This record gives sequence, C-alpha cells and structure tokens, in this order.
Amino acid sequence: METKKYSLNDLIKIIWKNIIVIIVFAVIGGSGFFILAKRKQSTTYTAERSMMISHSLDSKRAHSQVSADLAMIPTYEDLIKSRQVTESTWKALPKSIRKETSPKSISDNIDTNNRPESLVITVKATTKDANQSLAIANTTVEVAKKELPKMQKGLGTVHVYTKANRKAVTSQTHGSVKKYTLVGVALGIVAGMLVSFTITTLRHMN
Amino acid sequence: MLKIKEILRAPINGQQLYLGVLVFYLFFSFLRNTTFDPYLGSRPFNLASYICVALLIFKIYFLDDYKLKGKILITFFLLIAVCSWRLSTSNLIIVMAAFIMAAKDVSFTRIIQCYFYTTLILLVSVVTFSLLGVIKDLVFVVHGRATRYALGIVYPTDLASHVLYLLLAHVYLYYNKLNWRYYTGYVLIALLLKFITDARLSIICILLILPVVWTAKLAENPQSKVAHFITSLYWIFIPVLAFISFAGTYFFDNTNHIYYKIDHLLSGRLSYGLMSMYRYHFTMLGQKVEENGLGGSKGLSVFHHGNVGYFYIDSSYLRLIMIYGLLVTIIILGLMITISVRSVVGRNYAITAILLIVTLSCFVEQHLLELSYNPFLLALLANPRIISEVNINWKRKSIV
Repeated sequence: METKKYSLNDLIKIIWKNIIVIIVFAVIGGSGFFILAKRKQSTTYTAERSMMISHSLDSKRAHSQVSADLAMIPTYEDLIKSRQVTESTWKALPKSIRKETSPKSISDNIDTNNRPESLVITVKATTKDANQSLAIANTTVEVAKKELPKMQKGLGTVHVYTKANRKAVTSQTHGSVKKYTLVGVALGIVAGMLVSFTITTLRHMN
Repeated sequence: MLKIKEILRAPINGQQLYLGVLVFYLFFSFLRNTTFDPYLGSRPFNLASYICVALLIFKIYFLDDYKLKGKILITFFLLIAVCSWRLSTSNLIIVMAAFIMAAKDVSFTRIIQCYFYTTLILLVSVVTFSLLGVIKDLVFVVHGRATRYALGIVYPTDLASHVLYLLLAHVYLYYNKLNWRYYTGYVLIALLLKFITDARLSIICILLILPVVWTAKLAENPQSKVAHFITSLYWIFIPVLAFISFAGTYFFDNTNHIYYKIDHLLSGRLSYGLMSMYRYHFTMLGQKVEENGLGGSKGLSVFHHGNVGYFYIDSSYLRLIMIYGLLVTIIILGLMITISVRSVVGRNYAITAILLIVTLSCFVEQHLLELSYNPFLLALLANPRIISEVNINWKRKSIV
C-alpha cells in the first residue's frame, strides 16, 4: 500500500467534487461577517464652530501681540478642553441633552483644530446624535467666551463665529459592510477548501 | 446525510483526531499572520488554540497507550509548558508542547503531508485574495533597497519564511525522488522570492538546502565516509547557534568595527537583542515581553515613521530565553538535538538535514515555536516509518 501523493490535477478534481461544500462555507462566512459588520456599524455626527482670541490690530505692538496670541493657542486648546469649561458647558446644555451626557463625556467628544500660523480655533463635537453634537459645539464656544477671560489675565478679545446649524452637521459611517462581507466570503472559501480536503484525505485513509 | 451519520458513529481514531486538530489549528494560526487578522481579532485564535490543546490532551490521556511512567513524564513537561504560558502570556508554547506530546503513533509523513497541503492552500488563497484586493497587500519601501511586497502576509520576511518551510516539507515528502530537476525548481523559487520580498537571509537558507540535502543523500551510501561524517555533525549547529545567538548579543559592542558590520548584515538584530537584555532580566520559566514589530498595518506605520519605537526579538533562540525562560530553552534545544541525533542513528538523514536548515533559519527569524511555519519539532514522538505504520493503522481500523 503506497501513501497517496497528490498532483495538481488531483487537487483540481478534489475541489470540483467538493465545490458544494466550499459554496456552503462561503455563504456561511459571508452572511456571518455581514451580520457582524451590520452590528458593528455606527454613524457619528460632527458639528463645528470657530472662534478666535486676538488683540486689536490697531495698536503699535500689533505684530508682537499676534505672535503672542499664536504662541498661546495650544494653551487655549487645553483650556477649552479643561474641566472648568466642560463642566460649565454641561450645565448650560438643555435638560434633555444633560440627561444623556456628563462633563467627562463632553470632554471626550470635543476636539479642537488649529492651522499653523492661524489664530482661528475650530471646536468640533462628535457624538452619535446630530442634535447633541450641535448643542455641544455651540455651547462650548459660548462658555469658552465667558470662562477663558476668567482663566487667563490679559486675554485678548474672544471672537465667536456663526453658530453651527443642522445643515452644517456632517456624518461619518464607521465600518464598511461590503469589505467585511467580502472578507467573510473569502474566509468561507478557504475554510470550505480545507474542510473538503480533510474529508477527502481522511476518507482515503480509512 | 448518511455520510454524516457514518462520521459520527465511527470510533475515534487517534491519528485522525490529531490531523484534524492540526488542520483546524493551522487555519487560525496561519491567518493570524496575514492581513485577515484585523477582521478576526485575537479572540477566535485564542479560543481555537485552547480547543486544540484540550482535544490533544484528551488524545494523550485517553487515546494513547502510555504506561504510568510515560504519563508522569508527559504531565511534567506539560506543566512546565503551562507555567511558561502563564508567565509569558504567549500561548504558542502550550500549543506546541501539546502537539509535540500528542504526536505518538501518528505517522510523521502524514503530519507533513497535512501541513504541506493545508499551508499551501492557505498561502495560495491569501496571496490570491491580497492580489484581488480583498485584503491588504502591504508594501515596504526603503531607499537603497528593493520594494518588498508582503502579498497578504503580515511582513515580507514572513512570506519568505512560509515559502522556505513549505520547501522543506516538500523536501521531506519527496526526499527519495530528489534530483537536479527539483533542485532547479527550488532555486527558481528562491529567485522569484528575491524579487517579491528581498528577504536575503531566508533566501540564503533556501539556497543552502541544496548542499545540505545533497550531502545527506550522499551519506546514505555506506561507502561515503566523509558525507556520513559531515551529516552526523549536523546536530552540533543547534547548541552552537543558540550559544552564538545568546553570547553574540550579550557581548555586543557597537564600537567594535567587525561587530558593527555583522550587526548591519543582520539588519540590527544584535543591537535590538541587546536592548531586550537591558530591558528584561533572565528567567527560568519566562516573562511577558512587550514588542512592537514591523508586521501588519500597525507595523507598516512604525516602518513609515523611521522605525521609531521598533522593538522585536528576531532570533528564535533569544526569544526562547527571554520570553519563555531558560528551562524551556534547554528542553526545546534538547528536543531538537534528540530528533537530529536519533534520525542519524536510524539512518533517516532527511530529518537531520531539514532540521539543520530550520536551525540556521531560526538563528535570524522568530518562527521556531509557530506551527504554521515549523512542524518539524513534531518529529519527537511521531512515527517516521510511514508505510508500515499506515498499513497497521489501516488494518486495525482504530486505535481505541
């Protein structure tokens, strides 16, 4: 009795005979991953509002003022995300939103953006609900306008720009269902090939 | 339907259980090192590993024929593996230990056949899917070096390692038929690999298959004393390379010109190895080592940021010592030496030749304990005499 050696031709024959097994596994894999991806899928909404902290450009020391303001921006960003501001923000939110959030969740949800050499600070709020994001972004900027002068002496004027409205809110969907399903099908095909190969060899062995 | 009932009613055959568990484990273990891994995560892999270990322990204690002394010895080694697993938080050691211990009365040729076709199917599928775009094909570009493609595997060097071990399995399966046609095929594959992955050290190992195996085949002729002498010395590389791996790193001195050149040839393995010795002390049974490799999407981003934060222990021997402990290192080295010497004594030179290439390769890469790369440690208890064993199994229908 010889040990059975397989040639490429044999492998092709095995695949054809067991193609049904492979298809079954591919379908199971694809649908399994599809369900997984659908469950993992989430949409988030981002609202943003801009503000600027600067001194008047009229004075003789305008140039050095602007440099000083630019240098302070990382500090301002930290202050906006600090507890003093987020707690006041939370208190200023409408009751319905206050029920679903906490000062800590607000500091997790907001993010500040700033371009190099620009004095404009953009406050972005990202949550699972568009109205929440809207309220948080707008309120944070309002509260910052009130709180920041208390936190830093000699702060310039805090200019706040237009409130974000519902139309300006952007949404991002996380998790690509198509990709996951494709991967599921691919894994199913591989698993099917291995299972059919194993069954065929074990049958030959016994 | 009838087939399924038939399968459910058939008595459990130890060898079939072993091979089935092997295929099952190889599926998860192989995919772990591909860009499929982000979709699966570590939980399915760990779960599969523990299921496999449980099934293999069932085979050892309930299906295998051991006298009390044998069972105690096996339990002792498994306990050491368990300790090392808990301390290093890496389940590779317990899986490898379970597979090695459970391999009694399983035909080694069947194991290698299983490994070869399973890994081949997996590798071809992964490469195909990466070229089709279903999963990512990671590309590593360095100035002054060729572009390296990982083709679905997590790192180009790992791709080269897969091919190397597949070739070694092929060498074992077709050992008696090897001639210049096969050797040319191996060289062609090595050249193709150079274009795709530029993994110099693995390709050198593939090219070394030729002289090593050729000498071993010469040794089969009882008249060639020189070939027999050389082949019977193959096992020496195991402790020597392990020692060089350790001592070379321990005494590494960046200011020494020769040392610096060698380190450069080995892509910095010595200096990173020394770093690991500074960060971690030596243990008997292992410890947790935090590593940041260059594999996967995470590794690619480390790579793109000038390798900042890169830390990895590349030499399998150094990994054994630092991660799994001194005791485990001594046991594994002893295991390898036993396999190598025993096969020379039994005039089965294939295993000792293959083990030499494995030893050389493991000097520079980390796959000694990973079954999806290296199945050759399973030769310890597995049965190398295939034909008669398969016949006996077949006649007996089952071992239970």
